[in-house]
Amino acid sequence: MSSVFAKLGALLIAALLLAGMQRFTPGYTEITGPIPLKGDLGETLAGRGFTVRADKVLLAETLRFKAYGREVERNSGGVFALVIARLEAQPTSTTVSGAIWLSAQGARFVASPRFQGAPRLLGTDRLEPSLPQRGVFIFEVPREAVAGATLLVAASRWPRLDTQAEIALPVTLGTPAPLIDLGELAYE
Amino acid sequence: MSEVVISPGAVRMRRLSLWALPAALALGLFLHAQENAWEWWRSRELFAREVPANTAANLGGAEWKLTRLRRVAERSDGRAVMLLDMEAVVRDPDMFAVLPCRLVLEAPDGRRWSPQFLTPSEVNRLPERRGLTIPTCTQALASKPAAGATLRISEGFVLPAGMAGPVRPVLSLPAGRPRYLRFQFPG
Amino acid sequence: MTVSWLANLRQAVSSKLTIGIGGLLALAITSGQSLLEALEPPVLPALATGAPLDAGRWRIALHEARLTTRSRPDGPPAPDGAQFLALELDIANRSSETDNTFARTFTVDPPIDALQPNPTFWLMRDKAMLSALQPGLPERVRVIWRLAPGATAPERLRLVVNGETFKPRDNLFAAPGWFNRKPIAAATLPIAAVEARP
Repeated sequence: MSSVFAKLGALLIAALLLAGMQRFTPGYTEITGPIPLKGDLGETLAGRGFTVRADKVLLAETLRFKAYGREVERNSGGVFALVIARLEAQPTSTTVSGAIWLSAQGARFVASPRFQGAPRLLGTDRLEPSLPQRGVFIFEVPREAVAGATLLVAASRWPRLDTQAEIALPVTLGTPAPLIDLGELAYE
Repeated sequence: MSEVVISPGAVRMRRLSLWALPAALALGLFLHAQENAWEWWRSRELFAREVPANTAANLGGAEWKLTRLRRVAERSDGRAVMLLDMEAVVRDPDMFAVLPCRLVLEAPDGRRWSPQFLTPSEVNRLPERRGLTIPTCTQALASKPAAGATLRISEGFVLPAGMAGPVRPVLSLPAGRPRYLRFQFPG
Repeated sequence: MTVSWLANLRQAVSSKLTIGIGGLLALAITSGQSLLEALEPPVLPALATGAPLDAGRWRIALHEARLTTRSRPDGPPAPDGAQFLALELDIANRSSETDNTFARTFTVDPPIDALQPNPTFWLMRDKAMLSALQPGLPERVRVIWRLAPGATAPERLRLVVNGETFKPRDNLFAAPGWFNRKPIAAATLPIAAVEARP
């Protein structure tokens, strides 16, 4: 009779062990996920394939720009968050198309697709070594997603075993400007 | 529970199976890894072949020759526009037609610039290109030429003005990897 | 010797029984499942016009459907006299990530032959094609189908809204994701006639 209990006990322990391992060991996506490269505003981060430096964050309610000879104005149900940054390929020509605004609550906002044709938009043109691009990432986020966010920059939206720059952005950013003209932004 | 008698043959069989397990695992790993290793080998640029000036070299089913690399313009922001002309004589059309072509300019420190689409005004005002459309490397590969055809290939590059001197064209083709070509200039 | 023979027989019988019972159990469970699925009521809950519905990844509210001669919200009437069906709705992304799979949130059911497949989604804020929706920012969207030339316009549009459930860890990669897309509600909208030409 006692051997039956011993067997049941062993089974229970094995089940608990397996459940614990499933719960608390990192998953496949985490093991093969992005390789983080942490930094702050104004710091140049050198990853595999590119270097990035974020300089400034601006908030705006409306953005104006000229695309394909037409004046375009964009407004939002939330707010536009602009990150002025510098990108450079290293050591070979490459594209960096995975810019994400990671809010303090954990939501991931991909750079807004509503600005096609806007001047100096980062992440669209290919980067070249020794020819840095200075430009802007534009995100559209709800107001509560502004404070304490992180800027993620990588070659793709879901980098696998590749660099992802994680730039901590300021905790408070003040009130958004009513209107910003992208053509008049100071990029330097 | 009653005692179960196991025949000695079964015992031997079980022991054998237990020992065969690591061997089977190792074999499985090897068979799996073989494919990956082969893919890795065929996708890497491992062995550069230096091509002396004015000579042709064989790669990926064609004879490749560097015709000319020159600076055609300098932009106001300190960038040089370079134009690379090459010639390919097709030997093996099937091998030649494997896309894509990787033709880059390489600096001595390993930095590499990929070709760019140049605005027509920068290129087409050159007298010998007037009215001509010369294909890029990938376009030439995709055109599926017959054996013996001679193709003229041209690519444009934009790089920092200071790098225009020391860069070398590097050509790598899927059918040729892991070998690739690095072209030298006369003088 | 007889004892061992008996033991062997008992073992054989008990193992066969175990296998048999296991198989029967599996059979019973699967047939029970398919029975349950077959028994599920075919009537979906009705979704009222303008009422918001949480469909997992999306929150949607259907507003109105009408025929139009414009292929895009801000464009002139189509030159070839083609007709279009425009559906007005609100969509909000309830997930934690920018998403562009909004076209799968609903299906026309029963299908209408007059509607050409692959409608275009327009973001009314920009009067431009909708390419992605940001989390937590609801948008007014217009869906425009082109009507097959010469087809008679339908009188009503029945839409089935698909819901999805979030899994923090999927079974294959232990990655978070949205799964098990299935119809959760249906709405029938009357189709208003072409608006008078200005």
